[in-house]
Amino acid sequence: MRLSPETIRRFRRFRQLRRGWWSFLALAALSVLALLGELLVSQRALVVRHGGHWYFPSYGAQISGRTFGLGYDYETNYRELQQKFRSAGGADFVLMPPVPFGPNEIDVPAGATPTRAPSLAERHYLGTDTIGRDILARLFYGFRISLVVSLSFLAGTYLLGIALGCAMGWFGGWFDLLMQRVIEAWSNLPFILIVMIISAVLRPTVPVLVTVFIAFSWMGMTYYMRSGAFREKAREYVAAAEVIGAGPWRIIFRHILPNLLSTVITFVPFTIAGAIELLTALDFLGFGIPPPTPSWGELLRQGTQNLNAPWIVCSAFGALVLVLLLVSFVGEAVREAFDPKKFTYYQ
Amino acid sequence: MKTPLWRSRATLSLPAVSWSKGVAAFAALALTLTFSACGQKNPAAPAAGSAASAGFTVPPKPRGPSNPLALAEYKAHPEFYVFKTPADFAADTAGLKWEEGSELPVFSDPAAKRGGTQYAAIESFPPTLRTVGPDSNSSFRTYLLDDNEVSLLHRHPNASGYYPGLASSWAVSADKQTIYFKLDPDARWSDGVPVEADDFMFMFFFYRSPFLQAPWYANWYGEEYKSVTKYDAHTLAITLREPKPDPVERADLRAIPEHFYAEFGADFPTRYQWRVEPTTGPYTVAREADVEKDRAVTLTRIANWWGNDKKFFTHRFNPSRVVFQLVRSRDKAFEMFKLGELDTFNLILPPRFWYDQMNLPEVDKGYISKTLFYTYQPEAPSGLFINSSKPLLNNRDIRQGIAFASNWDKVIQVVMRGDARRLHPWADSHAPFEHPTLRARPYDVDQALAAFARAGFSTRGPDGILRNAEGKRLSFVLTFGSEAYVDIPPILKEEAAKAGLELQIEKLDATAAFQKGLQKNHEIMLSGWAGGAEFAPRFHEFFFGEDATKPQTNNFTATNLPALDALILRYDRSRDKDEMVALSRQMIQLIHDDSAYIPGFVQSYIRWGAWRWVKFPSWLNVREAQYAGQFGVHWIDEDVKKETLAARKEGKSFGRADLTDTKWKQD
Repeated sequence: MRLSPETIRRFRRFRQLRRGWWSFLALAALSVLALLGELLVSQRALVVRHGGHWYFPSYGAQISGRTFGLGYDYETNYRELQQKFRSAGGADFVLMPPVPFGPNEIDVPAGATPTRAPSLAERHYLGTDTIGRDILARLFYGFRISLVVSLSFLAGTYLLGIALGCAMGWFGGWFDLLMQRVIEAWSNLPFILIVMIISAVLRPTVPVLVTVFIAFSWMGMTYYMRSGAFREKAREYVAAAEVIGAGPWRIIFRHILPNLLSTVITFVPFTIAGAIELLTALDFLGFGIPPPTPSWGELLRQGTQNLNAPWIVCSAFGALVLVLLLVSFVGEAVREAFDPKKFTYYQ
Repeated sequence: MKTPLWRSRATLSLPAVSWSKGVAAFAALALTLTFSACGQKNPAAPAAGSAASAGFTVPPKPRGPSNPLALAEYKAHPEFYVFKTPADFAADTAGLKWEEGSELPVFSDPAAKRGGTQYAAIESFPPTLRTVGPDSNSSFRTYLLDDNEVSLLHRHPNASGYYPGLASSWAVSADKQTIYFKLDPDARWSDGVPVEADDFMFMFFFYRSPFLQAPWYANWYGEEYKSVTKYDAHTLAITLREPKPDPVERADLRAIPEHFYAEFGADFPTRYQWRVEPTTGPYTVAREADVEKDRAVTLTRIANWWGNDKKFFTHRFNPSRVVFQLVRSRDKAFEMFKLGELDTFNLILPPRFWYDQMNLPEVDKGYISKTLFYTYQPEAPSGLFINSSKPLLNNRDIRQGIAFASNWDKVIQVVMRGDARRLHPWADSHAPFEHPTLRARPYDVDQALAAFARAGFSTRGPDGILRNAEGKRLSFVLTFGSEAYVDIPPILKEEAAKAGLELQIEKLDATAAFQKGLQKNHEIMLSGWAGGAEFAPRFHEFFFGEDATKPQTNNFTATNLPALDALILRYDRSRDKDEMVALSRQMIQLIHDDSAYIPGFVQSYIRWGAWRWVKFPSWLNVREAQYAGQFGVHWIDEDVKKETLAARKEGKSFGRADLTDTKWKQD
C-alpha cells in the first residue's frame, strides 16, 4: 500500500505540531523501555561474575543459588549475592538493574512494615505496596501489560470493525441491513457487566480478557467504515478498478481503505486510551487480570483503600494521568494534522 | 442456634463462610443483595402504624388470637407441634435436675452507669429491618438480633455453662434428647406483651415456613429438632432429632412474637420490610423517625426493660441510645473517631490502623485509649483445602509437600504484621477435644522438595518449577473468593515457587468460589469457616467419605478415608465425653497425616480504640468477645465526656492510657 501525497503531507504536518510530536516520541520511548523491562527493572542481575565465570541472568532459565555457592536450590537472590560478594571483597561482583526488584517480589525485611515510603537508600524509588512489593516495578510491568492489551485490542477491533464496516458499505442490500440490526442488538449488551460476570466465574487471562473486550467493542468502527465505503463506492476510481476486473476485497482493501485511513488514524490514540482506562477500571473493581499480575487498577485500588500511604495512590494516579495525557496530546495532533478542512481537493 | 451471619467485625480468624452447608452460599448471596440494594431509596414504604406496633411507648396489649396459618400447621403436624397439660409436665420431668446457671459468675460491672448516647458507624445501610428473609443478613442484624435478642438461655462467655434468658430454669431428659424449660414470668416483648410458650410454637412454624424465602432456616429447624411441646403458657419442651452429649447447646432459641405476625403470609418479605419486630432484648427502634434512610439508625434502650434486674443482664447494655451513622469508608470513620464523633473504633483489621494510624496526640494525652484484649474460644478452620480427588493432588506426598511449601509465617509477618499465629491441625483451642501436641507443618523448602521427590517430581524446569519424568509441571490452581484474602495468595505463590511448586491464583466472586468448592471443582481452595462456641468440634461435615464426591457438601478436601469414617461414626454416636475426646485426637492425627487441609492463621485477640468516656469493667471484656461492644459490658460516662472535651480544648493531658489484657492468652 503506497501512501498518497496527502497522507505524507499530513504526517509532515503532524511532526510540526510540537506537543503532539514530542508526546508521540515520549510514548514511543516508554514503549521501547517497557520492551527492555528485564534490563531495567528486575530482581535478576544484569551481570554476575563468579569464580572466573560470567553469568547474564536477565533472560533465560533460572539460576539456582547453588551455582553461586548459596545453600539453596531455588532461584538466586541476587541482591543478597551482591551483598555477600561486596563484603567478601575479591573479584566476584553482581551488577543489578537500576531498579533491583521484580514486580511480584515481596520485600519485607524482618521487623520492617510491608508498606514503606519511597526511599533512595532501599532503592524502592516509589515505595512499596501493602504487601511489600516495589511500586515502580509494578507500575512498569503494569504499563507493559496495558500496552500489550491496548495494542491487541486496537488490532482486533479495527480488523473486525474495518472489514465488516467496509463490507457493509460495499455490498449494501440485505447484508447491510442484517448486519446493522446485529450491531444494534450487540451494542445494547451491557459490556462492563458481562466482563464482570465472565471474570467472576472464570480465571480471566490476558488473551481471554482481550477477546472479550474485542467481542464487545468492534461495533463503533463499523459505522464510520460503512459510511466511508458507501461514499467512496460511487467514485470513479472505484468504477475504474471494477472495469479492470478487481474483486470486491481487493477494491476494499487496496483502493477504498487508503482513502479512509485518515478516519481510522484519528481514532487510534483514543482507542488506545480507552483500552488502558477500561483495563484499569476493571482491575480497580477487581474483575481484571487475576493477581498477582501487576496492574495499575489494582494499585489504584490499594491506594484509595490506604490513604495513609499516599505514595501508592500518587504513583498509580500520576502514571495513569501521564500516559493518558500523552496519548491525548498525540490524538489531538493527529486529528489536527488529518483535518480534511486543510487538505481538501475538489476535482 | 447457628444462624448465617456476616459480622461486620467478626475478624478473629480469616473472614469466614459459615459452618453449615448452604449457609455460606446464602450469606454470600445476601451480602450481594445487600450491596445492590444499598443505593435504593426506600425500597418499600413503611406500612402505616408500623412503629406503633413496635414502640415501647405503646401500652401493653393482649396477645390476640393465634395466626390461623400457624394453627392449621399445628394441626397438620401433631408429631412436631405437641400440646400437653401441666400434669404431663410433672410426669415428664419427674426426677430431672433443674438448672438455672446460678453457680456461674456475673461478668458485668456494678459500677456501670446507665444513660448517655453512644455513637457508632455502620458501613452499609440495612436494606431491611427484618431479621430474617431476603436481604436481612446485613451486618446491622447483629445489633437488632444476634447481640440484642434474649434467647431461652445463653452460653456463658467466660465459663463453660449456660445462664438463663427467657427461661428461668431448664432440665435435660435422661436420654439427652429433650430439654424442658420454665419461662421467666417477667419476660416481656418490647411492646409489653408477655413472652409465652406460644411464641416458641410460633417460632418453629415461622422459621419452617416457605414464606420467609430463607430455606436455611426451614432446613435447620426441620432437621435439628424433632418436636416442640407446650404444657402451659410458661412451660415447654424442645426435643432434638438426635441425642447430643450437650443438648443444651441446641436450646439457645429465641422466641418470635406471634401477636406481631398476625398478617404473616406469602408477602412476608415486603409486608414486614420496614416494620420493627418487638424484641425481648434491651434495644429497639423506638420511633419511625429513628430510621433515617441512607443516613442513620438509632436504637433506644427500652424503659423498664424486663431484664434490668436479672442477674446476668444487670449492669449491661448501658447507653440509653446508640446512634449508628452510615459511614461507607473505614478511613472516613477513622477520621470521625479522631474527632470524637464516634466513641469507639475497631482496630483488629487491617493492622495499619493499630500500628500506623493510632500515633495521635489524642492517644498520647489519654483522650483515646488503645486496648488489646486476648480472647479464647474454639477457632474455626481456615486455610488451604486441597481437593484430594484431583489428579496429582490425590497423592499424599504431594499434599504434604504443599503443606511444607506454604509459608504462613510470611503471610503472618506481611499481612498481619506478626500479630497472629498458625492454626493447629484441627479443633484449635477446642479444649479438651484439641490435640495437645500436634502442630501444623512449618514452611520448609527441603522437606517440601523431599515430599515432591517421593511423588516423582524431582527436576526443576527452566522456570524453577518441578517436573516429573513425563515432563508434567507441578502446578495447581489456588482459588479464593473473599476480598479480605486478596493479599494472601501472592505471598503463598512467591514462596511456593522456591519449593518448585507453582500456584496459579484464581480470584472468583465469593459465591462462585463457594459453589466451586461445594461441587469439588477446585484444586486448592483458600477458605475460612465461621465457627463459634460449640460443645464438640465437627468432623463429619468436613471429612466424611460419603460426601467426598457428592456436590453441595462441605467436604472441600474430598477426604475419603475408611479409617477416618469409622472413627467419625463412633464419634457421632458417642455420648461419652472422654471417648469423644480420645476419638477426636485420633481423627486430628489422621487429618494431619492426610494433609488435605493446611491450617492457616488465627488472631486470638480483639483490639479497639475508645474515647475516655467509654468505660469498661476492670476486666475489660469477656473471654469470647468478638468485638468490644458485643456483650454490652461498657457504659458511657457523660461527665467524663464533658471533662475530656474541655481538656481537649485546653490541651490538657491525662497521660497515655493503653491497655493490654492477657488473661485468656494462649501460647
